Amino acid sequence: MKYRPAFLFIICLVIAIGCGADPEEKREDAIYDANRALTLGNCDKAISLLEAVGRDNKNSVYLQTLASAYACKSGLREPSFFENDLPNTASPAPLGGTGRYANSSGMVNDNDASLSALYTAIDLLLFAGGISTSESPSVTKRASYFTSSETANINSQLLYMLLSAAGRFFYYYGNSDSAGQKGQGTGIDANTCFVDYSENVTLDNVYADLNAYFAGAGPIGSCAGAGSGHSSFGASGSRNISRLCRGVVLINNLFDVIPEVLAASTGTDFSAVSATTTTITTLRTAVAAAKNGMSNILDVKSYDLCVSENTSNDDYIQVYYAFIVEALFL
Amino acid sequence: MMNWSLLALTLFSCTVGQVFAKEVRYLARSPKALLMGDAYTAAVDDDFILFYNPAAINKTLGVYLHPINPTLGATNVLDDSDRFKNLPKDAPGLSSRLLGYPVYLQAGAFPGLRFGPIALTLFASSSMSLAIENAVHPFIDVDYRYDRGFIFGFAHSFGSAKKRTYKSFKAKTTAGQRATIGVSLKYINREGIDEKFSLFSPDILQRVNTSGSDIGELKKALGYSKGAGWGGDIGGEYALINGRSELIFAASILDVGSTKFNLEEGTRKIPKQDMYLNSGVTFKQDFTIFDYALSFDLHPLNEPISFGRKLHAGLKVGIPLVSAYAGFSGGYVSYGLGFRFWPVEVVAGFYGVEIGSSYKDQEGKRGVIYLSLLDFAFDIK
Repeated sequence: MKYRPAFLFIICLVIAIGCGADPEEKREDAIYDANRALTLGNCDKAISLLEAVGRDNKNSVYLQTLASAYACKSGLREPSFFENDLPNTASPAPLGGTGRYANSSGMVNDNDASLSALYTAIDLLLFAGGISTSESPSVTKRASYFTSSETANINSQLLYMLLSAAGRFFYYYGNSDSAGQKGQGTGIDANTCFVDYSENVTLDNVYADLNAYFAGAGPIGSCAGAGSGHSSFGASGSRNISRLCRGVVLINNLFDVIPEVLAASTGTDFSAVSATTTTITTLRTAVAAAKNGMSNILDVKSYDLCVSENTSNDDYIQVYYAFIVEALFL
Repeated sequence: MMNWSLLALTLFSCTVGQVFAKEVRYLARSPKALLMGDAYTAAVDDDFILFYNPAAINKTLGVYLHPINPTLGATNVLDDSDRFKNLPKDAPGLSSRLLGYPVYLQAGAFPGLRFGPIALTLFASSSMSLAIENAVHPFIDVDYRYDRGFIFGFAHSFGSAKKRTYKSFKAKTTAGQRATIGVSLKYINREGIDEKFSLFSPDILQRVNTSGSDIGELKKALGYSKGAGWGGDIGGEYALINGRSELIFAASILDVGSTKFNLEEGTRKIPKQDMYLNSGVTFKQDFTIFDYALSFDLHPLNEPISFGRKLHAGLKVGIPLVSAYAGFSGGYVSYGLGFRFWPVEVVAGFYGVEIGSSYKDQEGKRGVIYLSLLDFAFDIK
């Protein structure tokens, strides 16, 4: 019996060593539980579980699960999105069909909580790996932090979320109708354009100014330049740059992500967006030719960076909307 | 007294506020044990001794050979058969049909030999768990393991109670007490995939497509790795025997320090075989034409899981040719029947296992069938 204390001490030591979960195990447990919670549609529980163990920017499954937990609050469900919404994307072309997505018509005000949750989800994946929000994220930068497989998974999830957010954004700020036609909806402003272009920003080449552009290019969907813009975007001298930047960042990141997803896809699942890259490339070329110094806004993929670069001068953002956003959502 | 308090406190601290979000994966489980709620640390006396407690080798004298004993396990589809009718082939259809429904398949064989205080078991066991979780961004979680190897065990007993002979296996034994300690050494060659795939990412399809029709290439594309490792177990047993009755207390530490594997093929880490600390008590009586065993286990003691998940209780009732099993394992019931008429023994039944994190979180409903052919035992004077 004289050995009993030592024997008990050894047993306690073995148990104590074995029973503690290290931070990585706790994170794995949280991921497992969060995925279970998301199976049952419990978005808040999943967020709470994952945030409680601390964010890990280098763990792709953690980030994807946390992003999906926030996306859960937006109503996005990839199975139904993939089956029912994605095929509608380019109908009407180029991206007007996003307004037909099941969740798009749910956006009825600027402070839509579901779109905010979706922005959070998108940012989690855009800046995955630890990319600073003060720099533009990109597929290439993310690839330096993750394996090719992890990067591909992040990009495809991003694509669904970006398209879903673009659909809500377009539907509300573009005053879309149920058929995805800009300016045909019954929104509060009955606006025919996204932005009020009455400031008539000067262009450097091809066209003298935006009025000339609209006259030359003809009405872009319902928008003939002189039409009304959405009041939430403000007017000359009082533009809401932060809201406008959301649209810019959505389109620029779609332009970055779509080719990567298409390259990894072998079937026809993504055929609805296959022509989008070509369309955006054409529009980017046209706007870059029309106004000098557009490269910053064409390349910006960080919301913070977009706001800081355009707060003092909103000309570039107006031109961007006139040439690209109005033309993608007709 | 203080020392026992320390032990109790340590055990308690392991179970409070902890989660362990996965199934407790032992190297192998006895089908009879699974049907008895896996309360088998003290009760084990079949082909799977070395997977529970090496000290149990020394219960009997003589030689026992179990050459052919395949087992098959699977998700209990009978419980939800409509789910598998006209199973869709596309990702949206599959995810809606199988979301939150764990699929499990297992096959193995565990031939071996017991010769007095030593035992050797060879094993080849393959298991696969598939689960689709997350309704927003469905992940398909694949956990595939193929283990091959052997376990060699040795036990030594002290005390007055004689060991049973195989001839008198179901007869009155001598009274007394016996303490046994046992050790075992194992070699495991493990191949496996433990990956989460985004179901709606082109990545998984690309992996399948690039591997062509070669199953080996497909396994590699899905993250297959292979490796080998050595491990060890220790165990102890204390038996009080009185005529037809036996009361046995037992404890074991399986895979002391966890069995780790050296990577031989592939690039992914091979899941280690975790160390598990087990304890149990069983009481059995054998009246020749009728026998029964009641057993109770607490395991794994060292894992940070809720106390309820560690509770296991089982009952076996036997008459000549037929045995019935029932149990309770971490909140889920099990039941089954066995039939034995030499040279055949068949055991089959259903059981539940916790595959979630907390007590009664998510049940994996499974069935198991075990077939033993040509096993035989004889005594050595």
